[in-house]
Amino acid sequence: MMRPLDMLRLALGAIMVPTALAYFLPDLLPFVRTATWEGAMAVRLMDQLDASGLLAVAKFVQLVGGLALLLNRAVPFALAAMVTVNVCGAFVAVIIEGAPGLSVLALGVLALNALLMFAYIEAYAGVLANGALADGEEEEPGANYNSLFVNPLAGASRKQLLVALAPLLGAAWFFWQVVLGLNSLTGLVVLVLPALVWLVSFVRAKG
Amino acid sequence: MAMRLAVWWVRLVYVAWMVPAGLNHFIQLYPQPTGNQDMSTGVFLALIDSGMFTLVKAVELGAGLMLLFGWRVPLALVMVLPVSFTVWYWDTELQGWWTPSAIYGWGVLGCNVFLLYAYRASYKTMWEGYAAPRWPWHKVQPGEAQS
Repeated sequence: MMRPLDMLRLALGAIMVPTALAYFLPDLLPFVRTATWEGAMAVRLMDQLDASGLLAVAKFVQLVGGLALLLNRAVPFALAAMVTVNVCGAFVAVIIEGAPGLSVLALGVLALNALLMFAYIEAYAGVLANGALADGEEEEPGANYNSLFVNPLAGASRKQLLVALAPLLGAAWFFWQVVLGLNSLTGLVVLVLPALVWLVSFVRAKG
Repeated sequence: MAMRLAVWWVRLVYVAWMVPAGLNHFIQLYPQPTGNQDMSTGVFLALIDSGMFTLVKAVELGAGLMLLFGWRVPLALVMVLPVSFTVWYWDTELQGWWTPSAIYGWGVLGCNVFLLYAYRASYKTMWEGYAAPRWPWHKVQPGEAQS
């Protein structure tokens, strides 16, 4: 017997796939009704997104994500990819268009997407983890970004801090010499924070 | 060691780019580029006038701060990927593939993708070996199978 959550997964897939297909091949599924925008702002925004090709990108994400749900393949990834599209859809329907019927539909689809993400929450354990390490990093202080540029009390050694100075100076040089205009200054201002953390760590470090 | 240093450099550059770029929408630090092609300007102004640009910039600023303060970095990188993609698309396809704009587009998306690659171990469970779904309010009983 099919579990209710599997039915919800299939239901979301069955909404995503035909509505995306109807965008690319409108004559294939003439009976599928897609959102019709009437407000001037919503029409203008959707026309611009359509003409620029960005709407096609969103519909492609919707199509591939919907197929993944129907085929029960990489479901957590598909849900994460589609939630962006569904958030934007809800934003247009509720905030910009403000039509009650469309808003209820868009919020319903978003709620279904969110509910399924919560159902698969364990699959997102790595994504939601705090203190994740990147390629080449290690747990010990001085061998990961946070212990050098975020936490001045982590206990990195002076040798490790001197090594970490290379990317910090490299980033500062990049904003000073390569980036143009005011972006150069604002970038350097942001780098003051990791530089201060580095400095405090260096003063505190032994040997 | 080389990979570690590369990750740190890219992360510092990306943070120093994203935080002001996100903040600039809420507190003007520098003039916001609006594009110099009909299509890029049209899309940009429609996003601004509709309020959707605020959503985009809030995500960019939030993710930038998460990276700056080292809080749930893999989540921040996934959150901001649609923004990076849109920036890249706007800077290349809409502004022109062989323009100075395109360099920024490639830079922003490149940093995001490189960092996603560097944190790829965090995303493994989204692809394989994940537990069967269960209602969010369902508590696992002792002895109940995890998957």
